[in-house]
Amino acid sequence: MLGKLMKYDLKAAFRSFAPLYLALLGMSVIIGLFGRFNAEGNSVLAFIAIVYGVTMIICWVIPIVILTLRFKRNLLGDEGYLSFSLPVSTLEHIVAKVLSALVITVVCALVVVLSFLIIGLISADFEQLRNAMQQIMSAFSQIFDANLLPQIFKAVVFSILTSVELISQIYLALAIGHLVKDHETLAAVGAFIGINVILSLVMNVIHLPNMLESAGLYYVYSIALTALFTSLTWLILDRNLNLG
Amino acid sequence: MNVLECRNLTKNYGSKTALDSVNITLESGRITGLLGPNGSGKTTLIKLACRLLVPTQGDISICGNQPGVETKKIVSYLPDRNYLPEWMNCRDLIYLYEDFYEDFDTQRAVDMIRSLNIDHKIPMKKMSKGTKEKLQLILTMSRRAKLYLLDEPIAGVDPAARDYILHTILSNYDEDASILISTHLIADVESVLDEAIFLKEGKVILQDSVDSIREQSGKSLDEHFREVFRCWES
Repeated sequence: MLGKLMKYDLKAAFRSFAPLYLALLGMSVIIGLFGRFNAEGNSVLAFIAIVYGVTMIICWVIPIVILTLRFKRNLLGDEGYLSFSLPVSTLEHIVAKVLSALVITVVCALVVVLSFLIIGLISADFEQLRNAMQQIMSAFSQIFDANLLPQIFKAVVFSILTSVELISQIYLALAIGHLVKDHETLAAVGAFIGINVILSLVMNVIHLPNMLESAGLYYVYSIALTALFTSLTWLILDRNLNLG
Repeated sequence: MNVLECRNLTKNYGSKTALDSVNITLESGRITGLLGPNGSGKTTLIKLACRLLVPTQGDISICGNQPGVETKKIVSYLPDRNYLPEWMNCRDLIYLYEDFYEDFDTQRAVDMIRSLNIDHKIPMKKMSKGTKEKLQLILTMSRRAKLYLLDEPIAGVDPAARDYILHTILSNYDEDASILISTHLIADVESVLDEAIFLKEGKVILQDSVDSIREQSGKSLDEHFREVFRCWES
């Protein structure tokens, strides 16, 4: 049933994301073509580049907004009457939402990488691209005094895990808000801030070392927090669900 | 066999008691009216049976099981609001019901949707209120469930739609299944009911067969309901 829940979650989410991602990839093609025909300094290119930059930022922010709204509507709004009538446990509903968020975050990251690749592949030939990449890699290797690829990999995994952790924290805040009738949104915002304050206090006490040096520790910390937020969300919705 | 059983079922919302020590038994193969004015606890009782709420005290069981994943497989629930995703069309909804409910009869749903000439490509958000309500009922009644819980299925629709809804309910449930219809529009459902439960301020004040109520009171169920609740208010 988890797979079926995720299927409908992803279907609903990608309906909202698809136009944005297609716009980003479309703009990548246009920017790549401008680059190919040496149109630097062209005002149209400058305009498209600005729109591309804004779209890129939106691509990172919108998934969080859409996942938040989807959780609220699908579990805590009128659709909750359908969701919680399905022969599926409350835990499965929440785990499906967290795993869907993970998939969406990964897809979002892949689209951004694909967009850079499209610009690079269209605007330069393979030889130029290879030289540019080598130069970038050696520059970064000198800065970090280490092999770049493992560091990039660690940073990407960490950012995906923290994105999912952030989304599961938002789900918990929404569940806490659900306990406060008539002021659900306000209570959810308060709960989100409260959780952040508690996490800051915890971080001050445990003093984690540098992320790139102790990536494994950060992964465990992030996964543990995601599991904690998910468990608390389950506890609230399983025992105190009260759809309006 | 008892399909639904409530023993001393109580539900409080903070200091307010919505259901107060309710004892109810529903047998299989019966259509029962859950009757009472607004705020009498009808929706709360149905939500407890669907595990959309957890009781404060007491027990509720469906075919011997506490409400949960197993009972949701055999209970078909129609809430008192638009609960289907607005972006889905008929086809999406049929796939969804097929995916999650083993007892969903696709052909039955398709036939009813065709008979109403509902365009299967139109999303819910573009349908009229009446069409949405009929589609929700079609999906609910297209399951071969053991218990149908219908919360205010005829409230807010015109008389022609009421006839369609009642006809759909009567012609689509298996004889060994039970139906619990919550409503305050007694006259419209009286002809289809086998039993009636009167609920007032969270308490059951009457549970009997409709024939027996008519016989003992010498009135129709609707007239008796009006009289009982008028007495309560005076």
